[in-house]
Order: sequence, then structure tokens, then C-alpha cells
Amino acid sequence: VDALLEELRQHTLNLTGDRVPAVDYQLIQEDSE
Amino acid sequence: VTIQEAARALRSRQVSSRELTQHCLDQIARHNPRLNAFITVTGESALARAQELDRELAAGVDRGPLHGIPIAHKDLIWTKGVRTTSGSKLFADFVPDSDAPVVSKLADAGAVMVGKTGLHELAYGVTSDNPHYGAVRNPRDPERSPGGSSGGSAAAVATEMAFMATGTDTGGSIRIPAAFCGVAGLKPTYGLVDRAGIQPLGFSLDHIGPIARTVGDLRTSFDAMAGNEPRKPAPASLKDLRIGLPENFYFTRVAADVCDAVRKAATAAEQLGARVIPVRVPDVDALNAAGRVILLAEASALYSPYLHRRADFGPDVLALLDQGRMVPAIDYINAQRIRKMLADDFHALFKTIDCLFTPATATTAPLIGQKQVELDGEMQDSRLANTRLVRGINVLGFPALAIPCGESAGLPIGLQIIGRPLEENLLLALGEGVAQAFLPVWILEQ
Repeated sequence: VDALLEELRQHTLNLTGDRVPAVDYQLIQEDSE
Repeated sequence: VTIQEAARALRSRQVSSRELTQHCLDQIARHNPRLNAFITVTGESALARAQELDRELAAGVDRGPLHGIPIAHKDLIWTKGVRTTSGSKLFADFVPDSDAPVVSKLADAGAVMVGKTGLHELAYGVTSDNPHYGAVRNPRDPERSPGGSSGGSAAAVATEMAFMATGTDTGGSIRIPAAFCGVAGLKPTYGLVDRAGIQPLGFSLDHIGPIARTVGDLRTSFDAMAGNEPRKPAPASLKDLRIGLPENFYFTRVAADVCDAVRKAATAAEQLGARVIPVRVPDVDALNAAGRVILLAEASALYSPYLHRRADFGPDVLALLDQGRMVPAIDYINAQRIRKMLADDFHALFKTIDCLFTPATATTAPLIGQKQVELDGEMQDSRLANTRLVRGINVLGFPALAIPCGESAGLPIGLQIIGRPLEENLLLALGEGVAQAFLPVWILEQ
């Protein structure tokens, strides 16, 4: 699991504060549209 | 025989529901000892229900295209009065006191349940090699895996033990077995088919959908499962439909004959009038990493009350549940932020195309127990290799269809068609056209 978490953390380096979590599909769709 | 063909024969009195049901039970008696596709067979109640439905039809009561059609449910979907194990020792004696809404919808549409199909333990894996209920085997080659976690559902429909079967898909669990067994599977848009009464795995990734022998049968089943949930109509024509063919990610670390078959499917779609557009997809590696972290954490949250019963889990599932306990909240939250970012990127991509064509799996069905596969000259973990093309679509919540598009050494190859949310009807229309070019010959021979 360490390797997976390290990979994930590489992808989070450039996440800015306006990148909020998505926890369900409705949020993804509404924000995108 | 397709659902549509059976429905016509029922209405012209060429066959009864009881006879169709008996045919499926005969197929179960013939194939199940070898394939282990079913955990529970409900023959007696199925025949009684079929007779009721025959009487209804004779009296002029017609519930629609599933009236009198024998089906099966994955054994993590609640069925009133019928044991529902989730492929787990934890739930070996669990008998629900109600049906899941999706079971009720299919029953109200006239479907006849012939039994409950085998699966990977707790749907947490892609082999269906179950330590408690035995390995489900691939109908094409019983030494090979049918895929999973809905392996029993795919094996059952491939051998006419049922006309369709329900499946669930958290990281490819409908599409992988459909690809390995040479049948069709649909993972609908997230939330479109009601998940109540279904044993969860990853709360924000779980989907439920149909597995069937043809795309037409998928459509009939999906319509009943989705009920009145709003979704977009199919396009009037396939002409000028824009198919994205990825230049990155989806054709790397994939077997050459699988790549060739999917490209041929794109050519077949062009012959139907669609346009194939080379595209670069957003960062699917990041999407997969986010999906794996989310699933590890959500599954371990779900099963933490049971983890003291360590002997009741198989070793692969227990290892994943232990790993999930090591995911910090920070990483779970950041995985959900990556999810949002990449969903935005994919929505942007889908403004330029109507769907994506990709392989469903990196290889054809591996041997039961095979842990590694060789791709691009390197040995790779079989589970990760065969989930990397499908898992990300669960993270997005977009619909995706898997259909057969060729064979390699006698084993089926699966095409994945990914669409925009609520555009299942576009996928089904396109898939139906493309599938005509790749009719699974062995099913016709049967």
C-alpha cells in the first residue's frame, strides 16, 4: 500500500485549493455543468 | 436464443415460460457441476413462478419483453427468502426478508429467477476463485478464470443457464467477466440503477447492471432495471457519431491481439457511418491510483466491524482489507479531489467526442490461479493489469459497455465503449451495430 500512496501523492502535488473533493456522482456532474 | 426471440415465441405459444425455465434448469444441471456458476439454484420456485406467468399471458396480461424470461441474480443482491451469501463466510446463512428494489423491478417485469450466481468473495477481486464456494470456471476453457467479481453471472448467461444475470461493478466487475466469457455487460451511470439491498463494497464506486448474451438483451434488461430514471434517448442515426480512439494509455501494456481487435471494431463502426477521432485521454494512471485508494478505504470502513473474524476471510480479501486500514484520511480526501479534477478533464474531452473505444481487459482470460501476465515484455500483476482499463470509469461514474469484438486462441476479446453520463442508449445503439460484425460464433453453434 505504501507504493500506491506514494503514487497518489505524486498526483496531488499540483492540486490547488479550488480542487474540492468529489464524493458522489451528482457533485461531479453539477459542478462540471 | 435471445430474450427478444424467446419473447416472440412465448406470445405465439411456440414455447411456455415453464419450458424456457426448464431449459435453463437443464443447462444448469448440465454445466454447473463443471463451471460452478451458481451458489444457489431455485428450481422449484422458478417453475412455479413460470407457470403463474404462463397463466397470466394466456389471460391476456402481458408484462412486457421480460415476461416469463428466466434470469439469475448475483449472490450479493438481496432476494426475499433466498440465501444471499455475498460469496462470503460472514453471510453464509443470511436470508433477506425483502427483495432489493432491482430484484422487485425485474420480477414486476415478469422475469423468473432461477438462482443466485457465484462471485469473488465480497465482490472484492476479479477472479471469482472463491475460497468458500469454489472457483467459478470459464465456459470457454474451465481451466481459466471467468473474470470477476460477477464471474458466475457471465458464465451462466454464456451457457444459457439464464437469459440475463445481474452484476455489480466497483472496479470492472461487470465488464471484465463479460470480456473473458464472450458476453455483453453494461455498467450504467453511477446511481442510475438503485443500489439499495445490494451488499456494498466501495460506496462511491459501486454500480449495478446487466450481463446478457446480446446487446439487445442488455437493453431490455437495463430498461427494466433502471425503470423511470431519466436518461437520454439513443441518437437517431450512428452517422457522424464521434468515436474517440485513445493515442495514450489504453493501448499500452495491452496484448497485441487485443489491441488489433479493438482497432478492427473501430473500423467496423466507421463502416456504420461513425467518425473515428484520435484523442489523448486525461491522466488515467492518476484516476486509477485515486480509485484504488478510495476503494481500499471505503471497503475497510465497511468491513472493520468484522475484521476480528480473520479466519472467515480468504487471504487476498483479508490482505486488501488490512491495507485499507493503512490509508490516511488525508490520502482518501486527496483521492476524491483528484477524482473531481479528472472528472472535469473527462467532461472536457467528451465535448469533442461522443464515446471512447478501448480494450476492456489487457489480456484474454488468464488461468485460474495465475498471478502474473506478461505484457510488453514484462511480468505484471494479473489483477492490476486487467483492472487498469476499467477501474477509472467507476471513479468517473460514466457508463461503459463491454461487448465481444474478436478472439485470440479461442478466447474472447472485449471492447469497452465509454460514454457520457446518462447516455447508455447511445452506447447500446452503437454497440449493437458493432456487435453484428463480431457475433460470438460459439454461442450460435450452441
